[in-house]
Amino acid sequence: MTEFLQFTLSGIVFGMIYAAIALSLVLIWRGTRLLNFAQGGMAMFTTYMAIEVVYRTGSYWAGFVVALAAGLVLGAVCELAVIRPTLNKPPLNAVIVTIGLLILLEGLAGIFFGAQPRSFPAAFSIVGLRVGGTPLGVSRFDVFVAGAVLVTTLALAAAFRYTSAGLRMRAAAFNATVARLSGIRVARVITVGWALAGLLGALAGVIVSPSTFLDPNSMTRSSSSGSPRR
Amino acid sequence: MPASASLEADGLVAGYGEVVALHGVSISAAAGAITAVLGANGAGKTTLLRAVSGLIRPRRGRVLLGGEQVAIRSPEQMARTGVAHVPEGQAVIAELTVEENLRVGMMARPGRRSRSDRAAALDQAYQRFRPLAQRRRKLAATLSGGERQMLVIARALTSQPRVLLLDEPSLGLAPRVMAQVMDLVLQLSRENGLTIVLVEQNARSALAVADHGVVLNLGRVVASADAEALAADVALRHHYLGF
Repeated sequence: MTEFLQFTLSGIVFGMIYAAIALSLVLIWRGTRLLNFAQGGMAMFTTYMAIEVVYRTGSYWAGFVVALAAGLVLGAVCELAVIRPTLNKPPLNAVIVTIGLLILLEGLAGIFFGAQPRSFPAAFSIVGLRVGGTPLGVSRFDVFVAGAVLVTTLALAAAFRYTSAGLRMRAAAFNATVARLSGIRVARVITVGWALAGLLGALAGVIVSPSTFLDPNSMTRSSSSGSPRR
Repeated sequence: MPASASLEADGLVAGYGEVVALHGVSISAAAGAITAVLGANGAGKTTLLRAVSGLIRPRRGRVLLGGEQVAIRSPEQMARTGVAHVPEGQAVIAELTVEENLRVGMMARPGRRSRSDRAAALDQAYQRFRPLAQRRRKLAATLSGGERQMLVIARALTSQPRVLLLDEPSLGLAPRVMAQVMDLVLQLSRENGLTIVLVEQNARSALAVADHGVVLNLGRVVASADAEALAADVALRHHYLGF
Protein backbone atom coordinates (compact mmCIF):
# COMPACT_ATOMS: atom_id res chain seq x y z
CA MET A 1 0.00 0.00 0.00
CA THR A 2 2.80 2.40 0.90
CA GLU A 3 4.60 1.56 -2.29
CA PHE A 4 1.44 2.15 -4.29
CA LEU A 5 1.10 5.61 -2.73
CA GLN A 6 4.75 6.46 -3.33
CA PHE A 7 4.70 5.46 -6.97
CA THR A 8 1.41 7.25 -7.58
CA LEU A 9 2.62 10.51 -6.08
CA SER A 10 6.02 10.50 -7.74
CA GLY A 11 4.31 9.47 -10.99
CA ILE A 12 2.10 12.52 -10.76
CA VAL A 13 5.13 14.73 -10.32
CA PHE A 14 6.89 13.24 -13.33
CA GLY A 15 3.66 13.55 -15.28
CA MET A 16 3.61 17.23 -14.45
CA ILE A 17 7.06 17.73 -15.93
CA TYR A 18 6.06 15.95 -19.11
CA ALA A 19 2.88 18.01 -19.19
CA ALA A 20 4.93 21.21 -19.23
CA ILE A 21 7.09 19.88 -22.09
CA ALA A 22 4.05 18.64 -23.99
CA LEU A 23 2.30 21.97 -23.55
CA SER A 24 5.26 23.84 -25.00
CA LEU A 25 5.26 21.52 -28.03
CA VAL A 26 1.50 21.76 -28.45
CA LEU A 27 1.49 25.56 -28.33
CA ILE A 28 3.57 25.63 -31.50
CA TRP A 29 1.88 22.60 -33.05
CA ARG A 30 -1.58 24.13 -32.70
CA GLY A 31 -0.47 27.54 -33.92
CA THR A 32 1.55 26.47 -36.93
CA ARG A 33 1.20 22.69 -37.40
CA LEU A 34 4.92 22.38 -36.80
CA LEU A 35 6.59 19.90 -34.46
CA ASN A 36 9.42 21.90 -32.97
CA PHE A 37 12.39 19.56 -32.69
CA ALA A 38 14.41 22.37 -31.14
CA GLN A 39 12.12 22.62 -28.12
CA GLY A 40 14.40 20.53 -25.96
CA GLY A 41 17.45 22.43 -27.17
CA MET A 42 15.84 25.74 -26.28
CA ALA A 43 14.97 24.48 -22.80
CA MET A 44 18.48 23.08 -22.35
CA PHE A 45 20.02 26.42 -23.29
CA THR A 46 17.87 28.45 -20.89
CA THR A 47 18.58 25.95 -18.11
CA TYR A 48 22.33 26.42 -18.65
CA MET A 49 21.82 30.17 -18.39
CA ALA A 50 19.98 29.57 -15.13
CA ILE A 51 22.83 27.40 -13.82
CA GLU A 52 25.38 30.10 -14.57
CA VAL A 53 23.27 32.69 -12.78
CA VAL A 54 22.70 30.41 -9.79
CA TYR A 55 26.41 29.67 -9.43
CA ARG A 56 27.43 33.30 -9.81
CA THR A 57 24.81 34.95 -7.64
CA GLY A 58 24.14 32.09 -5.27
CA SER A 59 20.46 32.73 -5.67
CA TYR A 60 18.27 29.95 -7.03
CA TRP A 61 15.40 32.30 -7.72
CA ALA A 62 17.53 34.71 -9.75
CA GLY A 63 18.40 31.75 -11.98
CA PHE A 64 14.79 30.66 -12.12
CA VAL A 65 13.61 34.08 -13.26
CA VAL A 66 16.46 34.40 -15.78
CA ALA A 67 15.56 30.99 -17.25
CA LEU A 68 11.90 31.94 -17.78
CA ALA A 69 12.75 35.37 -19.20
CA ALA A 70 15.40 33.86 -21.47
CA GLY A 71 12.85 31.27 -22.61
CA LEU A 72 10.42 33.99 -23.66
CA VAL A 73 13.09 35.90 -25.55
CA LEU A 74 14.70 32.82 -27.10
CA GLY A 75 11.32 31.56 -28.33
CA ALA A 76 10.49 34.86 -29.99
CA VAL A 77 13.97 35.26 -31.48
CA CYS A 78 13.99 31.72 -32.91
CA GLU A 79 10.62 32.29 -34.56
CA LEU A 80 11.58 35.65 -36.03
CA ALA A 81 15.07 34.70 -37.19
CA VAL A 82 14.73 31.07 -38.20
CA ILE A 83 11.10 30.06 -38.68
CA ARG A 84 9.67 33.23 -40.27
CA PRO A 85 11.69 32.81 -43.49
CA THR A 86 10.14 29.34 -43.99
CA LEU A 87 6.60 30.76 -43.99
CA ASN A 88 4.80 30.07 -47.29
CA LYS A 89 7.39 27.41 -48.12
CA PRO A 90 6.75 23.64 -48.15
CA PRO A 91 6.00 22.51 -44.56
CA LEU A 92 9.03 20.21 -44.46
CA ASN A 93 11.33 23.24 -44.66
CA ALA A 94 10.28 24.45 -41.23
CA VAL A 95 10.74 20.96 -39.76
CA ILE A 96 14.28 20.68 -41.13
CA VAL A 97 15.04 24.16 -39.86
CA THR A 98 14.01 23.21 -36.31
CA ILE A 99 16.38 20.24 -36.47
CA GLY A 100 19.14 22.59 -37.60
CA LEU A 101 18.27 24.92 -34.76
CA LEU A 102 18.55 22.03 -32.30
CA ILE A 103 22.03 21.13 -33.58
CA LEU A 104 23.06 24.78 -33.41
CA LEU A 105 21.86 25.20 -29.82
CA GLU A 106 23.51 21.96 -28.70
CA GLY A 107 26.75 23.03 -30.36
CA LEU A 108 26.67 26.48 -28.80
CA ALA A 109 25.93 24.99 -25.38
CA GLY A 110 28.96 22.73 -25.74
CA ILE A 111 31.14 25.73 -26.59
CA PHE A 112 29.85 28.06 -23.87
CA PHE A 113 29.02 25.70 -21.04
CA GLY A 114 31.05 22.54 -21.76
CA ALA A 115 29.76 19.04 -22.41
CA GLN A 116 30.20 17.72 -18.84
CA PRO A 117 26.92 16.81 -17.20
CA ARG A 118 26.16 19.39 -14.52
CA SER A 119 23.91 19.04 -11.55
CA PHE A 120 21.16 21.55 -11.20
CA PRO A 121 20.03 22.65 -7.75
CA ALA A 122 16.47 22.23 -6.56
CA ALA A 123 14.45 25.09 -5.15
CA PHE A 124 13.44 23.22 -2.02
CA SER A 125 14.56 20.19 -0.10
CA ILE A 126 14.63 17.00 -2.10
CA VAL A 127 14.38 14.89 1.04
CA GLY A 128 11.27 12.75 0.91
CA LEU A 129 8.29 13.93 2.91
CA ARG A 130 6.87 11.65 5.57
CA VAL A 131 3.52 11.41 7.20
CA GLY A 132 3.80 9.84 10.62
CA GLY A 133 6.96 8.01 9.66
CA THR A 134 5.58 6.70 6.33
CA PRO A 135 7.55 8.03 3.32
CA LEU A 136 5.29 9.56 0.65
CA GLY A 137 7.77 9.21 -2.20
CA VAL A 138 7.73 12.93 -2.92
CA SER A 139 9.79 15.82 -1.62
CA ARG A 140 9.07 19.44 -0.91
CA PHE A 141 10.60 20.25 -4.29
CA ASP A 142 8.26 17.77 -5.99
CA VAL A 143 5.31 19.59 -4.47
CA PHE A 144 6.71 22.82 -5.86
CA VAL A 145 7.09 21.22 -9.32
CA ALA A 146 3.50 20.02 -9.37
CA GLY A 147 2.23 23.36 -8.12
CA ALA A 148 4.25 25.41 -10.61
CA VAL A 149 3.08 23.38 -13.59
CA LEU A 150 -0.51 23.35 -12.39
CA VAL A 151 -0.59 27.11 -11.86
CA THR A 152 1.08 27.83 -15.20
CA THR A 153 -1.25 25.50 -17.09
CA LEU A 154 -4.38 26.90 -15.48
CA ALA A 155 -3.21 30.47 -16.07
CA LEU A 156 -2.56 29.70 -19.73
CA ALA A 157 -5.91 27.98 -20.14
CA ALA A 158 -7.68 30.95 -18.59
CA ALA A 159 -5.78 33.40 -20.78
CA PHE A 160 -6.66 31.46 -23.91
CA ARG A 161 -10.29 31.23 -22.94
CA TYR A 162 -11.09 34.60 -21.43
CA THR A 163 -8.77 37.26 -22.84
CA SER A 164 -8.91 38.89 -26.24
CA ALA A 165 -5.24 38.06 -26.82
CA GLY A 166 -6.19 34.42 -26.19
CA LEU A 167 -9.06 34.65 -28.65
CA ARG A 168 -6.68 36.07 -31.23
CA MET A 169 -4.32 33.13 -30.72
CA ARG A 170 -7.11 30.58 -31.02
CA ALA A 171 -8.58 32.25 -34.11
CA ALA A 172 -5.15 32.38 -35.75
CA ALA A 173 -4.50 28.72 -34.94
CA PHE A 174 -7.85 27.41 -36.18
CA ASN A 175 -8.20 29.50 -39.33
CA ALA A 176 -5.33 31.80 -40.23
CA THR A 177 -7.01 33.16 -43.37
CA VAL A 178 -10.20 34.20 -41.62
CA ALA A 179 -8.15 35.62 -38.76
CA ARG A 180 -6.10 37.74 -41.13
CA LEU A 181 -9.21 38.92 -42.97
CA SER A 182 -10.53 39.99 -39.57
CA GLY A 183 -7.52 42.19 -38.98
CA ILE A 184 -5.57 39.84 -36.69
CA ARG A 185 -1.82 40.12 -37.23
CA VAL A 186 -1.26 36.37 -37.40
CA ALA A 187 2.53 36.63 -37.80
CA ARG A 188 2.75 38.52 -34.51
CA VAL A 189 0.45 36.00 -32.83
CA ILE A 190 2.76 33.18 -33.93
CA THR A 191 5.77 34.98 -32.45
CA VAL A 192 3.92 35.27 -29.14
CA GLY A 193 3.09 31.54 -29.35
CA TRP A 194 6.79 30.71 -29.73
CA ALA A 195 7.66 33.01 -26.85
CA LEU A 196 5.14 31.24 -24.60
CA ALA A 197 6.43 27.86 -25.74
CA GLY A 198 9.95 29.03 -24.88
CA LEU A 199 8.74 30.06 -21.44
CA LEU A 200 7.10 26.69 -20.76
CA GLY A 201 10.13 24.82 -22.05
CA ALA A 202 12.35 26.88 -19.75
CA LEU A 203 10.09 26.03 -16.82
CA ALA A 204 10.28 22.34 -17.73
CA GLY A 205 14.06 22.62 -17.95
CA VAL A 206 14.58 23.99 -14.47
CA ILE A 207 12.15 21.56 -12.86
CA VAL A 208 13.34 18.40 -14.59
CA SER A 209 17.10 19.03 -14.46
CA PRO A 210 17.58 18.40 -10.70
CA SER A 211 16.60 14.78 -11.36
CA THR A 212 18.30 14.21 -14.74
CA PHE A 213 21.52 16.26 -14.66
CA LEU A 214 22.04 18.82 -17.39
CA ASP A 215 24.10 18.27 -20.52
CA PRO A 216 23.64 19.59 -24.05
CA ASN A 217 21.40 16.63 -24.97
CA SER A 218 19.55 16.05 -21.74
CA MET A 219 16.49 18.16 -22.49
CA THR A 220 16.05 16.64 -25.93
CA ARG A 221 15.87 13.23 -24.24
CA SER A 222 13.22 14.53 -21.86
CA SER A 223 11.37 16.21 -24.73
CA SER A 224 11.14 13.04 -26.78
CA SER A 225 9.37 11.41 -23.86
CA GLY A 226 7.06 14.41 -23.60
CA SER A 227 6.19 14.56 -27.29
CA PRO A 228 2.51 14.39 -28.11
CA ARG A 229 1.67 11.02 -29.68
CA ARG A 230 -0.28 11.77 -32.79
CA MET B 1 -20.76 53.37 -38.05
CA PRO B 2 -17.98 54.81 -40.23
CA ALA B 3 -19.21 56.13 -43.53
CA SER B 4 -19.31 53.74 -46.46
CA ALA B 5 -16.80 54.46 -49.16
CA SER B 6 -16.63 53.86 -52.86
CA LEU B 7 -14.21 51.21 -54.06
CA GLU B 8 -12.30 51.32 -57.29
CA ALA B 9 -9.89 48.86 -58.79
CA ASP B 10 -7.80 50.28 -61.57
CA GLY B 11 -5.94 48.00 -63.97
CA LEU B 12 -5.40 45.15 -61.52
CA VAL B 13 -3.06 42.41 -62.67
CA ALA B 14 -2.85 39.44 -60.33
CA GLY B 15 -2.39 35.70 -60.32
CA TYR B 16 -0.89 32.65 -58.71
CA GLY B 17 2.69 31.76 -59.56
CA GLU B 18 2.98 31.58 -63.34
CA VAL B 19 -0.76 31.81 -63.89
CA VAL B 20 -2.18 35.27 -64.47
CA ALA B 21 -5.84 35.34 -63.44
CA LEU B 22 -6.56 39.06 -63.83
CA HIS B 23 -5.33 40.90 -66.91
CA GLY B 24 -5.82 44.55 -65.96
CA VAL B 25 -9.27 44.60 -64.39
CA SER B 26 -10.90 47.93 -63.57
CA ILE B 27 -14.15 48.14 -61.68
CA SER B 28 -15.87 50.92 -59.82
CA ALA B 29 -18.27 50.26 -56.95
CA ALA B 30 -20.27 53.31 -55.92
CA ALA B 31 -20.65 54.12 -52.23
CA GLY B 32 -23.79 52.64 -50.73
CA ALA B 33 -24.60 50.58 -53.83
CA ILE B 34 -24.47 46.90 -54.68
CA THR B 35 -22.07 46.03 -57.48
CA ALA B 36 -22.42 42.49 -58.78
CA VAL B 37 -19.33 40.82 -60.24
CA LEU B 38 -20.42 38.00 -62.52
CA GLY B 39 -18.91 35.44 -64.81
CA ALA B 40 -18.24 31.76 -65.28
CA ASN B 41 -15.88 29.59 -63.24
CA GLY B 42 -12.32 30.78 -63.72
CA ALA B 43 -13.36 34.26 -64.86
CA GLY B 44 -11.30 35.81 -62.05
CA LYS B 45 -14.10 36.91 -59.71
CA THR B 46 -12.63 35.42 -56.56
CA THR B 47 -9.12 36.51 -57.53
CA LEU B 48 -10.41 40.07 -57.87
CA LEU B 49 -11.71 40.03 -54.29
CA ARG B 50 -8.53 38.36 -53.04
CA ALA B 51 -6.41 41.04 -54.70
CA VAL B 52 -8.51 43.87 -53.24
CA SER B 53 -8.45 42.42 -49.71
CA GLY B 54 -4.72 41.73 -49.80
CA LEU B 55 -4.90 37.92 -49.72
CA ILE B 56 -2.78 38.01 -52.86
CA ARG B 57 -0.52 40.86 -53.84
CA PRO B 58 -1.57 42.55 -57.11
CA ARG B 59 1.35 42.76 -59.52
CA ARG B 60 0.11 45.95 -61.07
CA GLY B 61 -2.75 48.37 -60.69
CA ARG B 62 -4.23 50.46 -57.90
CA VAL B 63 -7.05 50.17 -55.42
CA LEU B 64 -8.86 53.30 -54.27
CA LEU B 65 -11.04 53.47 -51.21
CA GLY B 66 -13.23 56.57 -51.04
CA GLY B 67 -11.20 58.03 -53.89
CA GLU B 68 -7.90 57.61 -52.04
CA GLN B 69 -5.29 55.10 -53.11
CA VAL B 70 -4.50 52.43 -50.52
CA ALA B 71 -1.22 50.53 -50.48
CA ILE B 72 -2.11 46.84 -50.23
CA ARG B 73 0.35 45.23 -47.85
CA SER B 74 -1.59 42.43 -46.15
CA PRO B 75 -5.14 41.23 -45.48
CA GLU B 76 -4.93 42.31 -41.83
CA GLN B 77 -4.00 45.82 -42.88
CA MET B 78 -6.83 45.96 -45.45
CA ALA B 79 -9.30 44.75 -42.81
CA ARG B 80 -8.11 47.54 -40.54
CA THR B 81 -8.57 50.01 -43.41
CA GLY B 82 -12.24 49.02 -43.59
CA VAL B 83 -12.39 46.38 -46.30
CA ALA B 84 -14.31 43.35 -45.02
CA HIS B 85 -13.87 40.27 -47.22
CA VAL B 86 -16.27 37.39 -46.64
CA PRO B 87 -14.67 34.46 -48.49
CA GLU B 88 -16.71 31.75 -50.16
CA GLY B 89 -17.72 28.57 -48.40
CA GLN B 90 -19.29 29.99 -45.22
CA ALA B 91 -15.92 30.27 -43.56
CA VAL B 92 -16.83 30.28 -39.89
CA ILE B 93 -14.17 29.33 -37.37
CA ALA B 94 -15.83 26.05 -36.47
CA GLU B 95 -13.88 25.50 -33.24
CA LEU B 96 -15.00 28.81 -31.74
CA THR B 97 -18.43 29.70 -30.42
CA VAL B 98 -20.81 31.95 -32.32
CA GLU B 99 -20.04 34.83 -30.01
CA GLU B 100 -16.28 34.28 -30.27
CA ASN B 101 -16.60 34.37 -34.07
CA LEU B 102 -18.32 37.73 -33.78
CA ARG B 103 -15.66 39.01 -31.39
CA VAL B 104 -12.99 37.98 -33.90
CA GLY B 105 -14.75 40.25 -36.39
CA MET B 106 -14.24 43.16 -34.02
CA MET B 107 -10.46 42.69 -33.93
CA ALA B 108 -10.14 44.77 -37.08
CA ARG B 109 -10.42 47.99 -35.10
CA PRO B 110 -9.49 47.11 -31.53
CA GLY B 111 -7.87 50.34 -30.43
CA ARG B 112 -10.72 52.64 -31.25
CA ARG B 113 -13.52 50.72 -29.58
CA SER B 114 -14.65 50.91 -26.01
CA ARG B 115 -16.13 48.00 -24.11
CA SER B 116 -19.66 49.40 -24.35
CA ASP B 117 -19.21 50.04 -28.05
CA ARG B 118 -18.24 46.41 -28.56
CA ALA B 119 -21.17 45.20 -26.50
CA ALA B 120 -23.47 47.37 -28.60
CA ALA B 121 -22.04 45.90 -31.81
CA LEU B 122 -22.74 42.38 -30.49
CA ASP B 123 -26.30 43.36 -29.54
CA GLN B 124 -26.84 44.81 -32.97
CA ALA B 125 -25.64 41.61 -34.61
CA TYR B 126 -27.96 39.50 -32.46
CA GLN B 127 -30.92 41.72 -33.23
CA ARG B 128 -30.38 41.49 -36.91
CA PHE B 129 -29.60 37.78 -36.81
CA ARG B 130 -32.02 36.29 -34.26
CA PRO B 131 -31.03 32.63 -34.76
CA LEU B 132 -27.45 33.52 -33.83
CA ALA B 133 -28.59 35.07 -30.54
CA GLN B 134 -30.06 31.74 -29.44
CA ARG B 135 -26.86 29.92 -30.29
CA ARG B 136 -24.30 32.39 -29.04
CA ARG B 137 -22.61 29.88 -26.72
CA LYS B 138 -22.70 27.03 -29.24
CA LEU B 139 -19.75 26.10 -31.40
CA ALA B 140 -20.00 27.47 -34.93
CA ALA B 141 -19.48 23.88 -36.14
CA THR B 142 -23.03 23.07 -35.00
CA LEU B 143 -24.71 25.68 -37.23
CA SER B 144 -26.59 24.93 -40.46
CA GLY B 145 -25.33 26.25 -43.80
CA GLY B 146 -27.68 29.23 -43.76
CA GLU B 147 -26.76 30.09 -40.18
CA ARG B 148 -23.08 29.88 -41.04
CA GLN B 149 -23.58 32.30 -43.89
CA MET B 150 -25.41 34.62 -41.49
CA LEU B 151 -22.55 34.31 -39.01
CA VAL B 152 -19.81 35.15 -41.52
CA ILE B 153 -21.73 38.19 -42.73
CA ALA B 154 -22.48 39.24 -39.14
CA ARG B 155 -18.79 38.79 -38.31
CA ALA B 156 -17.82 41.08 -41.18
CA LEU B 157 -20.39 43.66 -40.06
CA THR B 158 -19.05 43.81 -36.49
CA SER B 159 -15.83 45.20 -37.98
CA GLN B 160 -17.88 48.21 -39.14
CA PRO B 161 -16.53 48.02 -42.66
CA ARG B 162 -16.54 50.79 -45.23
CA VAL B 163 -16.80 48.21 -48.02
CA LEU B 164 -18.16 44.66 -47.84
CA LEU B 165 -16.82 42.06 -50.30
CA LEU B 166 -19.08 39.00 -50.51
CA ASP B 167 -17.83 35.93 -52.36
CA GLU B 168 -20.60 33.57 -53.49
CA PRO B 169 -22.81 33.96 -50.42
CA SER B 170 -25.50 31.77 -52.00
CA LEU B 171 -23.18 28.86 -52.77
CA GLY B 172 -24.41 25.57 -51.37
CA LEU B 173 -27.54 26.98 -49.77
CA ALA B 174 -31.11 25.78 -50.21
CA PRO B 175 -33.12 28.06 -52.55
CA ARG B 176 -35.24 29.47 -49.74
CA VAL B 177 -32.17 30.27 -47.60
CA MET B 178 -30.46 31.73 -50.63
CA ALA B 179 -33.36 34.14 -51.12
CA GLN B 180 -33.02 35.19 -47.48
CA VAL B 181 -29.33 35.90 -47.97
CA MET B 182 -30.06 38.03 -51.06
CA ASP B 183 -32.73 39.92 -49.11
CA LEU B 184 -30.18 40.57 -46.41
CA VAL B 185 -27.65 41.90 -48.94
CA LEU B 186 -30.30 44.25 -50.31
CA GLN B 187 -31.25 45.39 -46.82
CA LEU B 188 -27.63 46.12 -45.86
CA SER B 189 -27.28 48.36 -48.87
CA ARG B 190 -30.68 50.11 -48.72
CA GLU B 191 -31.04 50.52 -44.97
CA ASN B 192 -27.43 50.77 -43.82
CA GLY B 193 -25.98 52.37 -46.91
CA LEU B 194 -23.19 49.79 -47.06
CA THR B 195 -21.03 49.56 -50.17
CA ILE B 196 -21.21 45.94 -51.33
CA VAL B 197 -19.29 44.07 -53.99
CA LEU B 198 -21.20 40.86 -54.61
CA VAL B 199 -19.46 38.04 -56.47
CA GLU B 200 -21.96 35.47 -57.69
CA GLN B 201 -22.27 32.54 -60.04
CA ASN B 202 -25.99 32.83 -59.78
CA ALA B 203 -26.22 35.88 -62.05
CA ARG B 204 -30.00 36.03 -62.14
CA SER B 205 -30.49 36.47 -58.40
CA ALA B 206 -27.45 38.75 -58.08
CA LEU B 207 -28.70 41.11 -60.78
CA ALA B 208 -32.11 41.18 -59.11
CA VAL B 209 -30.63 42.95 -56.09
CA ALA B 210 -27.64 44.77 -57.63
CA ASP B 211 -27.48 48.36 -58.81
CA HIS B 212 -24.57 47.80 -61.14
CA GLY B 213 -23.07 44.73 -62.74
CA VAL B 214 -19.65 43.83 -64.07
CA VAL B 215 -19.08 40.72 -66.17
CA LEU B 216 -15.65 39.09 -66.16
CA ASN B 217 -14.41 36.53 -68.66
CA LEU B 218 -10.96 34.92 -68.49
CA GLY B 219 -9.61 37.72 -66.35
CA ARG B 220 -10.95 40.66 -68.33
CA VAL B 221 -13.99 42.92 -67.99
CA VAL B 222 -16.32 42.21 -70.91
CA ALA B 223 -19.30 44.28 -69.77
CA SER B 224 -20.08 46.89 -67.14
CA ALA B 225 -23.51 48.48 -66.94
CA ASP B 226 -26.64 49.03 -64.86
CA ALA B 227 -27.92 45.78 -63.45
CA GLU B 228 -31.19 46.17 -65.33
CA ALA B 229 -29.44 46.78 -68.62
CA LEU B 230 -27.29 43.68 -68.12
CA ALA B 231 -30.29 41.56 -67.23
CA ALA B 232 -32.03 42.78 -70.39
CA ASP B 233 -29.10 41.97 -72.68
CA VAL B 234 -30.08 38.56 -74.00
CA ALA B 235 -26.93 37.92 -76.01
CA LEU B 236 -24.65 38.75 -73.08
CA ARG B 237 -26.70 36.66 -70.71
CA HIS B 238 -26.49 33.75 -73.07
CA HIS B 239 -22.80 34.06 -73.67
CA TYR B 240 -21.44 34.71 -70.22
CA LEU B 241 -24.11 34.35 -67.59
CA GLY B 242 -25.90 31.17 -68.56
CA PHE B 243 -29.50 32.26 -68.18
